[in-house]
Amino acid sequence: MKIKVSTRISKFLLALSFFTLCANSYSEEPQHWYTTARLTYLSAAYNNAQYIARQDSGRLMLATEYLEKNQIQFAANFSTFSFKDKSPNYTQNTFALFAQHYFYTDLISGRTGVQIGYLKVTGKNLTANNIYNAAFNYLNYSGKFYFHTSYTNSRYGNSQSGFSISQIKPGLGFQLYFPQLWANVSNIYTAHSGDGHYDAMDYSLTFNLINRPRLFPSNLTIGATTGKRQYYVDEQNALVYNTEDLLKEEFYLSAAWNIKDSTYFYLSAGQQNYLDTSNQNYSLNYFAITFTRTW
Amino acid sequence: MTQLKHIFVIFIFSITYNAISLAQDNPWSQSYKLETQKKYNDAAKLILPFADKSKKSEYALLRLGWLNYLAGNYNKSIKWYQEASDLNAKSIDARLGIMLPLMAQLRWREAQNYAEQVLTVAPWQYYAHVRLMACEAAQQEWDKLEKHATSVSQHYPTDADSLVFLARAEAKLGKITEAKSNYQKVLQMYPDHLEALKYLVTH
Repeated sequence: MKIKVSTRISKFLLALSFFTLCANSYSEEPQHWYTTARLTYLSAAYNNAQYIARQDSGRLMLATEYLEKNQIQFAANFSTFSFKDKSPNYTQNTFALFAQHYFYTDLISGRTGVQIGYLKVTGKNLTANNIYNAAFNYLNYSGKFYFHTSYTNSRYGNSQSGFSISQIKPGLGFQLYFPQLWANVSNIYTAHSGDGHYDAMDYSLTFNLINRPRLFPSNLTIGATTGKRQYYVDEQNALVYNTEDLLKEEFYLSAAWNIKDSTYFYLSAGQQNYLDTSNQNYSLNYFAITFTRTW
Repeated sequence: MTQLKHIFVIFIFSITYNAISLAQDNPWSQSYKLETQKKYNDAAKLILPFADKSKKSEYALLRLGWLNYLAGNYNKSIKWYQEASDLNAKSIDARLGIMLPLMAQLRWREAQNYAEQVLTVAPWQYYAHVRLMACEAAQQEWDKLEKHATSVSQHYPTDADSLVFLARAEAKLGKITEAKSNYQKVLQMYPDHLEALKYLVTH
């Protein structure tokens, strides 16, 4: 009996050592896949809007990337809108899937990303909608310049196409770095088919808070975006806007906590001022909590 | 006797002259010369015949990788380093080399992979560590970089690069006292180091 028990123990130890060995070899393997998760909760109150009183949204984004070559991104957004006249809540759920491949070219010296996407909109009191999206972006190797263009088409034929050019690092002008302060003035220009264009300016000041108590954020940003803008699809947050209202300006304050490498926590609050189709101004005060982590 | 001396001098002179002219005709020597003149594409053209499939020279493949990296032909550089690595699977040089064009293309994670491959066979390979630290800094992995740079600077106490990375990570993590102390050590090695001077003036 003793022999049998010891045989079992040694078999168990052998199996355990094999698995430990496997685990060790695995840990030595270079990592190829990286996954980023982002979770956001947003609560907003409307002022002076014709019908809507408030909005609550929960957003989840999962992106898996194979080195810096291929990326698949899934995003879901669940929103509930409540009305002033106490009529039933309106819900809108969006599910989005994007696939992106990066090409590295020497000819134009930069990284080119080609993206295709599909967004499915469902919800109570809302007709389901299918949206197809194609985008192209370019980042030069010095990391100073980013170009993005996209085309979106929905089942009902309303389409949106646009492009934006942004500066990431100083070199072309507008951004200034000081040891603990980053001042940014940038232009966001987007052309729409059928709806003209928007030409917005983004002004922001970011303070890097170093040598701070642990509970304090790593940086604080205060900013404003001016210039009329109109959205149909926000690829970043998988949001679909079923409105023709114009966003005139936005004031925001955000704080970021760099908890540890690849783990961030953000708190943001702001006010967006809109102009609706009957030329009435209304505003939206929002508060959002976001958590992101990369594995 | 004098005649013999003359013959000897002529003999030595002709040998030296032939050797010099042979060296000048040598494509390798011309390629090195062109490299010093920053004519990297021309320098690479002279080496191309040595990378021919029938007489693949490992050194030629590595040199083509290097010259194409210098010329900004990053994809070509990756291709040549990859061929060198395929030819000799044990080559540390090929893996260290391929990191350079990948880093230039901002492909930090892929470069990191090659550094880790080198470190599994040569745990304290200096260039692998320095390039890995550069990848960590580019990806803003400050906690990781702080630990990594501390350990590298313990193994290479006279190395300024690891101290700069350590001080930079500490500065980003808000550890001003530690960052100042390490930037001061950097200044002992390189009294004109811009990053160290700038930090110490402003903090």
